[in-house]
Amino acid sequence: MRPRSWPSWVGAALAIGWLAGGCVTPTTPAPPPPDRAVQIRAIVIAWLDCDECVDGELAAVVKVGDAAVPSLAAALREGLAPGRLEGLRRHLEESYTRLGDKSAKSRASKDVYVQRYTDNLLALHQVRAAIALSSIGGPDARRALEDAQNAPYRDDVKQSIKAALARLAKP
Amino acid sequence: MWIRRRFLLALSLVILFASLLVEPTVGRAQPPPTKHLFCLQDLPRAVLLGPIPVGCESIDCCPGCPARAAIDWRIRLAADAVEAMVLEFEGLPADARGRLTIEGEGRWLDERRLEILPGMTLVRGFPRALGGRSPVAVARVSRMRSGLDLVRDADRPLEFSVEQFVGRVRVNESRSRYWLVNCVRPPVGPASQDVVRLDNNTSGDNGIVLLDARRSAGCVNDEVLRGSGNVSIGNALSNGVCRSEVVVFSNHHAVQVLPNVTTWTDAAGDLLPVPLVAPWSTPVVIRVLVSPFTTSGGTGKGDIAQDDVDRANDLYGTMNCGLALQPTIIDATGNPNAPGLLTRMCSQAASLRTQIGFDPGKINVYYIADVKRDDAPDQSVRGATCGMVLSSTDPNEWNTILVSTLYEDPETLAHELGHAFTLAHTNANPDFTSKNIMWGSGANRTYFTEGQCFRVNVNSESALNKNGVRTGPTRSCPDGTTSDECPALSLDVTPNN
Repeated sequence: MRPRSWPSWVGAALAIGWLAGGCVTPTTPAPPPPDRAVQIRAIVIAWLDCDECVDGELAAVVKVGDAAVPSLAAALREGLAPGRLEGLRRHLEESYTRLGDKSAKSRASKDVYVQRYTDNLLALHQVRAAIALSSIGGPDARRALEDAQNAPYRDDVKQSIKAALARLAKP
Repeated sequence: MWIRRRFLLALSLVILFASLLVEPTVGRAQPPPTKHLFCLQDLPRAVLLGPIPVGCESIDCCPGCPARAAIDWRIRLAADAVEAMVLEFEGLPADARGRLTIEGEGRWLDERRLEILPGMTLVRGFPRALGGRSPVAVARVSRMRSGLDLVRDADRPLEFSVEQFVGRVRVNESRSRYWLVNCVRPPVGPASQDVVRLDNNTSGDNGIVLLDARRSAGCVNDEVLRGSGNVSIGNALSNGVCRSEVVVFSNHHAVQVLPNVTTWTDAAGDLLPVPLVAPWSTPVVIRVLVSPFTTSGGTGKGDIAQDDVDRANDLYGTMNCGLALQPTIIDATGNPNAPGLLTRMCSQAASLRTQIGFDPGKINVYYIADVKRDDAPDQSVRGATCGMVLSSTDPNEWNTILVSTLYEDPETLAHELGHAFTLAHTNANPDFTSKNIMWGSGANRTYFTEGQCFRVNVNSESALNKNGVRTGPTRSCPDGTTSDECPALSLDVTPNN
């Protein structure tokens, strides 16, 4: 018995369908494989968090390129992840509890202490996200910065977004 | 001939295969995979890991992560000495808990406590967003193996990890990896052991003794023993060809380094008294340029500087580094030059020294608004130790630290001081986690190791020695050097007290 073969028009139809499908496929890149996604997260977080940033953190993010843009845009737009925020809050509450004399005249309340450092970290992430977006460039990075222009950020963050857009405007 | 060769080959394969089958992966005597030592006696009272927040590390979880997919926890416990651990949840709503499914070695003990047995446990279905604060879990040992033998069960690994996944992507992870050690040698009779006696330990610190000596089996290096008064060490023999040194770390005292100990004889019953003294009183002059200096609500930048010093003192004290910062916090907000110096980088720090003030031979810290990178002036950093940033040999640069009031965290000052005490970043060292104070992009940082505290004290380039704060033996122990003279940077003994 001869092996069953498909009529030739089926192959042609499939080829046309595949080409047509390709034409309407959105430009959103496919998500990276799991291991790469974990790497990208670590690279982005290392840049957002770094103290002196002397270990090539920004260069590593720029090397990731477009794949880092969604995470950076989300960090600029939405700030800290809820789980991260909770970890930070508990850490700050614990470190406050361990401080010396709580009755010291100029000691802030626990809430003020927690808020102060939370605000600093949030602003640091946003400033760093803006810098990385302008360093990577491209339409998605530009859109993220433009969308953030009028949001109610801290003054230093606003200045940073403005500077990032100015850098993008340079040829 | 070839038949014999084939027979030998087959035989060796059988032996190899059999050895793989009978060799346990956990529990056999093996060299420590980590220098993080956990005193077996203290295991049941300690929090091993936590708090572990339910949720992703980054706001989008991962590039391409589906928006509403649930989070699964993959929990791994590998330990011979531990029969069970408990994860105690806070803030996990009952309906959310009811939707979780468990596979493997775990079961709910009650509404909040999940028991984990050695092996792998998978908990599926944590919600990505609950509204309000994220739930957290704290991990404790709940049951030691029955018939635990402190000698037999020491020198074993203990690994516990929680990895959080969205689909196949790991979106957060928490790990602890320890080597269990028997830190206490109870005396079995008079004069049956040698003793290191910790004198003046009025605070009752649970001291850590690092011992280099000769034992019947040969030279030992950095053997860990603990106690608060008479610390029994077994029988250390006369030195012979072995190095003999005792180092004592404790919460409320200076690190004691006793090289060339000649106390030990071949007979048991030798006594080495170690007088503990107050931590090294370390002057730090802090000049605050950013207004307001102080407010009744504690939000002034001078108030914040005081909080940071208190945090640094807590860390350097409780982590056994044996120093106490003595701050002088100066209000420089009224200095007419201050408004022009609020944004600086290290190469511009001379202007701070000359126009704001500088105390030679002491660590000088400037609280300014924004600290910039020298090689990328558009980038802000939390802080900088100028000697390190500029790779300088000028002692004034090493005594100059900049802190950004805009972006600092509670550990920024402690981190920058660590650089002044010769410590480098630990990111590249697999034995460290992002919780280490010297991690260069750390968050929620909480610890120094004894290996780091040792270097803070003995390195001749440390500000403690260069500024004449400390007296005592010095040596050169770069972070990357481990030798008889220099314990591993990652050598860490838990708990700290």
